Amino acid sequence: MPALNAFTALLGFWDILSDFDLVMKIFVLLTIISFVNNHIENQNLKLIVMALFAYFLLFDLWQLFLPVYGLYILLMFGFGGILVDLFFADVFRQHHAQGMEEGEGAHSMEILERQHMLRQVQQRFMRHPPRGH
Amino acid sequence: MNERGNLLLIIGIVFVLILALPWLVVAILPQADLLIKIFLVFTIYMMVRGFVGPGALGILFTVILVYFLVLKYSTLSFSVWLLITVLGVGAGSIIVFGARQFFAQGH
Repeated sequence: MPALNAFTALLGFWDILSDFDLVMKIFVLLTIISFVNNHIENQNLKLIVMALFAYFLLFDLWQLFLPVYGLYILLMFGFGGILVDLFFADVFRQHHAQGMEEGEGAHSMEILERQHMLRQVQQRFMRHPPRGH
Repeated sequence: MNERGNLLLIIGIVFVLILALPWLVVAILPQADLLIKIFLVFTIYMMVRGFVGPGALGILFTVILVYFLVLKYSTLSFSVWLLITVLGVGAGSIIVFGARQFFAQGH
């Protein structure tokens, strides 16, 4: 009996996937219609191009085009920003913190030391100017 | 590396909670189901009208999409719409930042 329940649940999940496959096909068809309408003026040419696009993308290359379209939708709705926040913002922050600890701090100290030495040389020069001037 | 894995898991859980929010709302307030369906019909019609313009073709696509997205899977569709809207307005970064600050102690 549990096996039957699992089988029916799997069938239900398959039904959902199948329905959403059809919904995605309709969305792609809407995108094709909108794209062709925006780019072609001629009515007959418009219909031919729509039919060609629809045939190749919805029937011939659908297995290839569905992931591409899904990725496009995800990126368009700001999924890339989340990936940047998750994987790159951390790296930049760590790099910046490391730079502050090792590189930039030491560099600032070196500049301060150089300025201090320059000031000492200037004061010595003012006290004991070179002969001949 | 484990801390990063935990953080990814926590952020994933937060997004799953956002996806589960409509189910929670419908469980607490059953009237929200009808409001969600009306809202989805309006949203689908406006979206289809934006793609193909007003006309018989637009009505046909609207009817098909309303059958699947509103009558069959209304709560699932609304949760997907909610997630898309949250990502679209740029609140995804806020959620990631908030999850990092509150659950992962600033890692």
